[in-house]
This record gives sequence, C-alpha cells and structure tokens, in this order.
Amino acid sequence: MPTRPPTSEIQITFNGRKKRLKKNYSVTEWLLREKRRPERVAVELNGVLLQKSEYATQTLRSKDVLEVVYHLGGAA
Amino acid sequence: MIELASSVQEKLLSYARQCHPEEACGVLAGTGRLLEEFYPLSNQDRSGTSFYIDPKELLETVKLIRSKRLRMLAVFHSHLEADAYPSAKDIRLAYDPDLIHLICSLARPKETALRAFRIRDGKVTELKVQLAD
Repeated sequence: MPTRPPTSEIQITFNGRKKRLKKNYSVTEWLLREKRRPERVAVELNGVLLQKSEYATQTLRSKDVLEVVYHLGGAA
Repeated sequence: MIELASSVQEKLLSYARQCHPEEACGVLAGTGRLLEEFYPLSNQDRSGTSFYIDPKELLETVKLIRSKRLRMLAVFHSHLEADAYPSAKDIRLAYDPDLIHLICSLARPKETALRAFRIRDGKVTELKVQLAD
C-alpha cells in the first residue's frame, strides 16, 4: 500500500489566534479563505504593513504573525 | 440594543467638537453589548465631509484592545452638517458586518445627536442606545 507523504503543516498567528495551515498560502489566498475581500482590508505581516500589490506574492510561513483589519471610512 | 458607558458618550461628543471643522473618528471597545472604551483616531482625510482611519493606527489600536481582553465593537464618526444617519458612502464602505456604527451630528449644537446602527449588505438597522454608569 502506497504511503502518503507527510503533511507539512505550518502554524501562524492570525488576529491573535493560532491557526494551523496545511500549506503556505499567499496572503490573498488566506484572506479569501477567511472570507475577507483583499481590497477591503489592511494587512500587517510580522509588524509590517503590506502594500496591496504584495498580497498575492507574499507567502505565509511558519510562526508568521498576521493582523487584518477592515478599512474604516465614510462621509457625511 | 447596545449599552454605552455615560462617560464614553461624553468623550465621543467632546472629541467630535474638538475635531470640528473636521470629521472626528475612532473606535470603541468592550465586551458583549457594552461599549466601555473609546479610542480617538486620526482622520486621514482631514476633511469636514469624510473620514478614513489610518490603517497603521487602527492595527495598533486593535492589538492594544486585544491586550486588554476587550473586542473592537464599534466605529465612531461625526457629521458636521448632516443628520446622525449613515450616508450613502458610510453604507458603501461598511465592510465589517459585525461592527456597530456610532454617528454623532453637530448640525444642531444645542441638541447633539448620537445614534447607533448596524450596516449589513447595504441594509441599515438602528440600534437603541442605552446609557450605562
């Protein structure tokens, strides 16, 4: 019987909570998985505010600390 | 319904007047339905007709709130001329369905209005505000 390759999980902290991920998601993939539209949020990775253009290229790694907030704005 | 600490209500109205002629903004934290702390934040638009909270400042505030074992429950902003009701842009930019929107109007200085709303999928629902000690 063929053996499965070992699952390589990584653990990140997302908005203060530990999360186990089964792969190295990009920030965009993670946001979509968490049902947050990338254009509607600000993302900080390990204390650094990311540019929107980095969401698709930045890959999450073990022990990363990710903070995501919705943009807050409006008008009279 | 939400509960708002009386002292926090005074801080909101005072901050709104202090920021005039720009719109004031900030977030509120608490537990359950009680809004117990106000965090005034910068209006990056520096405008009397719109507001946008600096994301970096917001991220730092959210972490501070979490460190106190509270949750960010509401966003606050003031309207200088308009009523205390969400504008079309307020509704369009209400991305977080769980956040309460507190709006204060300075249009009638003698009777400053403060109202609370839930905005989900473009639908506005007013929430009763009960003051707590």
